[in-house]
Parts: sequence; structure tokens; C-alpha cells
Amino acid sequence: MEVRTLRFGVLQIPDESVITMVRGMFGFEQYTRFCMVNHRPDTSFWWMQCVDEPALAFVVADPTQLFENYEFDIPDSEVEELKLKSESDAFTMVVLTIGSGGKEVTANLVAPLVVNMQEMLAMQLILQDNRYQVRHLLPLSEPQPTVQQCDTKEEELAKVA
Amino acid sequence: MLVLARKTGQSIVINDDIELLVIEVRGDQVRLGINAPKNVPVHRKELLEQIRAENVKAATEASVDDITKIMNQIPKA
Repeated sequence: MEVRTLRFGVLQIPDESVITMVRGMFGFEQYTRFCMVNHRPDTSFWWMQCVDEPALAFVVADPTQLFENYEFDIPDSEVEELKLKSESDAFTMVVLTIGSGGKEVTANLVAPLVVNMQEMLAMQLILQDNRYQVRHLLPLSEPQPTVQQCDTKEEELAKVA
Repeated sequence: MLVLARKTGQSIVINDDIELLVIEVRGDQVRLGINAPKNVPVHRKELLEQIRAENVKAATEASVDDITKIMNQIPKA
């Protein structure tokens, strides 16, 4: 099917790759159909693009790529609504927010997205426990300084000394 | 808004299938029990609003380039 997007132009995606959110995203409850856009496969984030609204897209990431100890129990009611038959069918993503004028990235660890990969059903959960933050700051590595080219071995050694 | 007064141990029934029970009142805090069908979400209001606001903030119109640039600085685990 064809998906018109604000950021990526017109995409062609297999019909079966559409993820249906049981109740949409909080704040955007009327938008329930999304597809995943792996815009930069060399990074750990994807775009979750709304199929029905070209301007609506979220930056999401697999929390296992970013955090060591992030885990939670999916409440029975959500297991039922997601039609989850096995834990291994559940794939978790967290929504990232770019803040502070583009200088800061935070992950919403209180409201993860859980996708049932078998049924292509998803929900955004609100976790009840107090361990996590709505804006968990992600550490940014320093942008690498430009490497100076050295003409001779002596110059190279002098730089390191 | 419908305003009802309840004592500890008393309930309110909404829509025939949602029950709010006042379990305990201690000072200015009320402990409420909620019985609702599994497909009816129940959340603390301020938390729900916080999540909604965060989603709105996250659904940015910023350019893909700006976001990709900053995401390049996130180390993979």
C-alpha cells in the first residue's frame, strides 16, 4: 500500500507490515495505523510513521540497544488486548523526544510501546512502578574532533607526545 | 460534573460495569479500588496528561536531518 509521509515522501509498504494500535498513542488516540521506517539502519532508532496522517511520526528505539536494565511486566489486561500468546511475540519500543533546542534526547520509559509481532497489534502502556522517568536523558557522545593529517611519522609522534 | 459524597466502604457504579470503591480515607488522601472490564483503561489523571504531553512533544515536526544528526551521537549498547 502507498503511505504518504511528510518526511520521507511516498512510501510503498506491504499491507501486512501495518501495525494497528489498539487505542492509538496517548494524545493521538484517533490515529491507530502505523508503519516502521528504518531510515538509518546504522543507528538504533526508527521512525514510527502514521499511515493515515503524513505529518505524524514518532522517533522510537529498541530499549535493549540503549539500556541494560529496562524491564517491566505487561499487565494481564494488556496481554489480553494485544492477544499475546507468548512473551517472545512481544517487541518493546520506547518513544524518544528531542528537547532543548535539538541538543538533548530523552526516552519515555514510563510509557513504552509493546508490539505483538504475530498479530501486528500494539499498545502504549503506562507503567505503574516508580522506577522510570518520562524523560530519561540519553548520554550523547562528544562529536569527534576532525583528525589532522600528518605528513611524516615524526609529526605523528609529536602530536601524540 | 456529577458530585457524589461517599463514605469509606461505599461504591459508585459507572456504566453498569465499572465500580469505584472508597477503601480508605486518611487525611487528604483517598484510597480507591476500581473494578473495570479488562479493555477499559484506568489511569491517574496527571500521569495520563503527562504522557499525552510528552507524546505531543515527541511527535516533532523537526527535520529528519536535525534528528538524524543528534541520533548519531547516541552510542549503541
